[in-house]
Amino acid sequence: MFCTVCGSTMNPDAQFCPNCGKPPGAGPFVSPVAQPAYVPPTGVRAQTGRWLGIGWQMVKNDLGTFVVATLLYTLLNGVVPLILQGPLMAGFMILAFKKLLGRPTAVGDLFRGFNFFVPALVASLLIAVFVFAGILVCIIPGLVVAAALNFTYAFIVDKRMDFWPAIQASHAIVKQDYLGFTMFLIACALVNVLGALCCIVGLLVTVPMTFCAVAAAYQDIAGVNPATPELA
Amino acid sequence: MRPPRAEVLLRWTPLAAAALWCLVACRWLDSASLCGFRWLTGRPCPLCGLTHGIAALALGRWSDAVSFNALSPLAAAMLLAAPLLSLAPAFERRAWQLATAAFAVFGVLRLV
Repeated sequence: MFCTVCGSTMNPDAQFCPNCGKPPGAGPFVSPVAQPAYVPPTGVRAQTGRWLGIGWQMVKNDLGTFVVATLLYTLLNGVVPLILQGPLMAGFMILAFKKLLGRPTAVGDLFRGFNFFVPALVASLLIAVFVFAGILVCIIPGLVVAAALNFTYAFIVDKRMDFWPAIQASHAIVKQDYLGFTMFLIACALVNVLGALCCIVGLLVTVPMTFCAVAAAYQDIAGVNPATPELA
Repeated sequence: MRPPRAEVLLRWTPLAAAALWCLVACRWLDSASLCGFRWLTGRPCPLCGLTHGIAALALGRWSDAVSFNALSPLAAAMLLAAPLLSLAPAFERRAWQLATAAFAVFGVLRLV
């Protein structure tokens, strides 16, 4: 039999999975092979003001956790660049989703992103390559590509997708309103520029705010699955 | 929740951002190019010259604008029409697809 959480092979009589330690039937595991392609809702439009507003409220209500998480995120990204960025982004999504669902949050949630280490790492590397290729052609295409892949980590965490289906799902949403979502990305970047102008320290507020805005956008469009084990 | 009208107004930001960018780039960068493709290959990409082209259009120098980038009038028109196009999503998508296709064809012609 297979573990319903991580998909590893386990003894039918075992009380816990030898790989993840969860009891049989603890949570849904959806094989990437069996998973149908994500079909986004139609008529999706970017709502930059609304999402940034929700992001601000989320960070304001739990400032301490988000500031410490951002410090850790920056520190770890600085120590091990590239490799840790994807899993940490996934961790930030978990933190933001828990806040959106009204569940208690902790700085340690940042490390739950490591449950998605491989898909998050590959996604971050692919996103970096795609965005770099776009930036090479007079910058603007790079911004559009970055906007198109903005929800990749959210899909990896929430829908437990592999990196490529997650990239496709993110693109499926954004392609309905390229301009609006690119403006959303630029608005997030401008918010962070404002944060940087506030003696750099402002970034500790604006960075999680923009992550939360992306999470709020995802919640509006795709809906966060409250049964996701990492959001418990 | 904000009224959708505020979100529609936010769509004027591309125009504002483009205007600001043209102002900054043409004032301080002058003839410098930020295009990685041009740095690597020595040839212009489909979007090269757009900043200067749109700035020239704003000053009424049409021939200069077209010499910088032949499609700069199209880009300026798309930027100006962006907020209005957003009121008709199906038409907006089609318009952007056509504009993108035009730039792709222009890019190929520029390289040949």
